[in-house]
Amino acid sequence: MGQHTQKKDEWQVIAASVRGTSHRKSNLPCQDVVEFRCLPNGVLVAALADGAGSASLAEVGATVAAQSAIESLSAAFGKGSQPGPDDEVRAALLNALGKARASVVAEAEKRSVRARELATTLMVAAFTRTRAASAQIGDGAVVVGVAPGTFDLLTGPPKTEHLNETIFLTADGALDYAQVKLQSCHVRYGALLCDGLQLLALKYPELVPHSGFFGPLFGFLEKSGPGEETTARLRQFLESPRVTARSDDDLSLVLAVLREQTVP
Amino acid sequence: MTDNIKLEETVEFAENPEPRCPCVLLLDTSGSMRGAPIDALNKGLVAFREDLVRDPLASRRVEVAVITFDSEVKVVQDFVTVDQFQPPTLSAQGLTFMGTAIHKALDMIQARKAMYRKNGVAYYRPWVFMITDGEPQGEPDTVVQQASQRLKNDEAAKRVAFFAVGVENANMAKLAEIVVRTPVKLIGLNFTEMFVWLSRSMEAVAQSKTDEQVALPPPGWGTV
Repeated sequence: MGQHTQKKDEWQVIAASVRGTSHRKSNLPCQDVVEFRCLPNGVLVAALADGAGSASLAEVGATVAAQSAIESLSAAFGKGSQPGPDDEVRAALLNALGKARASVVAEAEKRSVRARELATTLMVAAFTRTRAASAQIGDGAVVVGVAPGTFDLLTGPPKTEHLNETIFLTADGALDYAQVKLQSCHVRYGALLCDGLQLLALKYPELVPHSGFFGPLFGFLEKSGPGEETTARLRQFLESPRVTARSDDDLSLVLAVLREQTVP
Repeated sequence: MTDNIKLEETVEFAENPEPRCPCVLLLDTSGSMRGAPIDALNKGLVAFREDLVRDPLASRRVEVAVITFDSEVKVVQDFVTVDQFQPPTLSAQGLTFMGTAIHKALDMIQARKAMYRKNGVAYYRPWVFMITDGEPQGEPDTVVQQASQRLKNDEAAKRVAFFAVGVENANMAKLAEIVVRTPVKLIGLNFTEMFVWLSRSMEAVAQSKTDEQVALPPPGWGTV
């Protein structure tokens, strides 16, 4: 009490992927994969890969992409006490996408199938107390929040004419389509969501994060704290009839809240 | 400890208009379709509606329009969502104005997209599903050629996905010249199975993303 104290950033993170009702109907597995790590230096890194429903090994592609991405993000952002300048952050994110792509292509070669059979989208993100950054190829969205009710879209779905057309990590020249965004702000919340949640979480066509969606979710995480029970509740929500009536695709969500903890 | 927050009740959803997935059925009602073929086609349309309406999401998202072509090209049903679609009972007579019909289908899609954009409605790539038992007949060659060229441009620009199905004595070689995707030959008059497949395909289109337009198992109702 009243002694020498030090502020330590603590991320509270929950993540869930659930199989869409349409995937259940057509006997497809859940083809979304989420990964996140809270690094010792206080940086939170996360990756979300959404395998293409049309690809026969989509869940393999998504797993390889997300795992490869989280490894390169951890290596790049775990160095030093803080991430480097913006161009370094940008390069690290793009490098994670590039390495993930190479891993997926290599996995396809190993299995003697075309890379498109492992088609997946990929988004990667890094958050610190003062900066948020993301990069993505294909659909999905990364959101940052500075206060309850104040959320910004970092990267989002690319503007294509038709809803069901997206760019996959495995496509020729996919890296040229990567979107990257960096934002300096007082970060309090971060989220990654797959395309199945876009219509519920973003206001179209401007793609503004809907605070009625994110507010209660982050509020819930802040109150309940991370853990198995909280994650189970998130999963329950994603599988609830109110959600599945609006989206029958696989659904994935990563939610992170930064808590400034005072420790002796 | 988690307290008793019901996420299902507290989380609000963004109020976006339901995205739409337009599908034009372009149906040959020329004289040669008379009798068993047109009866089977009519039954198939009923099966199409029945199958789609069972999928709540598809019935809100898929919009169906029906155009018939014989010596006349008629919009029998303008775009409606499946829950409001009443399958028409078609009769057969006259020649086969296929070129004019293709133009009409592409016109309707263009107009529909403009309406979606005006109203901020997101949409999927439209499908046209053409069924014929013959080949173009009774209209100038140039009309067919222009329709075919326009269709090829629209396919190349990914503005539409156009599928052709040949019935009985359809001229498959001629069809293949007009459209881009390989036409499918219907086995017998198995329209019901074909329409159930189409319904399932529309459901798949309306729910997920694909990098090519037909990511479905090969149809059991036809041969290529």
